[in-house]
Amino acid sequence: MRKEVKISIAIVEPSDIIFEGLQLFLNKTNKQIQVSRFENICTLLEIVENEPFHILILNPYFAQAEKNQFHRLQQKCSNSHFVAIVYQYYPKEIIRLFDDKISITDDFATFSSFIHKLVDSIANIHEGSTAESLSEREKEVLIHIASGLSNKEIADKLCISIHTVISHRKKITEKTGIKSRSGLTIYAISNKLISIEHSFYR
Amino acid sequence: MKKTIKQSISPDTILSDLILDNPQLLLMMEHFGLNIVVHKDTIRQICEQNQISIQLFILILQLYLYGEVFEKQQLTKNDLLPLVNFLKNSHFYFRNEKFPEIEQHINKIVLNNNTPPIKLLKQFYKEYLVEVEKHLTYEEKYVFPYIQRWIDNNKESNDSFSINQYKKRHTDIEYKILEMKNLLIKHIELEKDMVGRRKLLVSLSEVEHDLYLHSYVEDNILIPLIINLENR
Repeated sequence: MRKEVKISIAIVEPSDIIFEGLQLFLNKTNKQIQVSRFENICTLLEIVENEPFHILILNPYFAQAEKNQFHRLQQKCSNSHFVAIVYQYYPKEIIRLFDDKISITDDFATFSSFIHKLVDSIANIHEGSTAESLSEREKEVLIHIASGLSNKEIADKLCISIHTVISHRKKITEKTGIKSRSGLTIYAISNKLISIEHSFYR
Repeated sequence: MKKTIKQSISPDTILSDLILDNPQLLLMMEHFGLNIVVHKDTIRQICEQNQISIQLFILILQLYLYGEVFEKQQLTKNDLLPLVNFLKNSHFYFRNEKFPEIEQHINKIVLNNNTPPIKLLKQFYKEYLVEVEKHLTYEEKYVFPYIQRWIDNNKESNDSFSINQYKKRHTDIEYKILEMKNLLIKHIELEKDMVGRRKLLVSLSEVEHDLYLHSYVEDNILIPLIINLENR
């Protein structure tokens, strides 16, 4: 029988209304979730080493205004899933620093299905399952790796930093057990993410 | 196969008893260049007949039995020659036995399954061989001769090579073998020749394990010993 993994979520959101709303929605998803709230990235950084979180939900403001802190957080939490909670306009390159986003205008059904999918994929990783558990963004990065692009080229193409590319690669390696470009290409072809003609093996 | 039971090993342990229970020791014997037929000889007797120190022999024996060693080592310069011979023999085993064996298994699977992933795995392995060959050649060209200079008392104080260069350069060569195993077990579907796949996986696991032990000997036994000598 499948063992339910208790998912830990850290929320960094200054608005009480948004935080309470998020927490209410999360409780309503009937998933085993433990929520902790942090005032800012600094306070999260202090404890994240000893107490890692599966999911980090952050207001994109922090990625924009506290760039360095946000980078440090990404470095320290390369295994966590970064989700942006969006309720105002942010430039694409900020949103792209996250693995996923949820919007304040999402209804409960959308929100719930997103959380269910995310929680299941995290549970899968913990059970060692592979192909399905790559996030859409990771698959995108993987396809570029398999087609022969360098980290820099992938970063430019996806408008993300090299650091983010590297952190995606780390996650891909953890999930698949494969690190080298050649190995990842075989993985991508076996899982039909890319054809041999489009791979760097062509 | 019997499971390895942690048994106390002393210089008076009869080696054939250990080998009977632990077939992985056959490879260790081969790397030491020792005859497998050990009659009822004790570890002490075998070491004396073959000019190998009991400390070194038991150390490597424990490594082959338990996958690591915990005791503080008290090796001396006299252990360098058997150590280098051990490493040279394992290079021979990789190059002339295991790597060609794996290649044969892959070729046979490719013949039976003409699919892109398995054909790419063949190429992946070829690339790996080039990489690993570089690694082995480097050791043979720079590291082993350097140790030979120590053995022959021929080492100049201004020797252009130092073990630190090697320590820094020493890379993990078994990782790609693990990648191949991951691909074969989790991702690459075959239509035919499941037996071939099993044989390939067994060979890969064997070579992966011996590469690990090989690196362990280099990193945790040879390098500390040389550093110790260099610092004297």
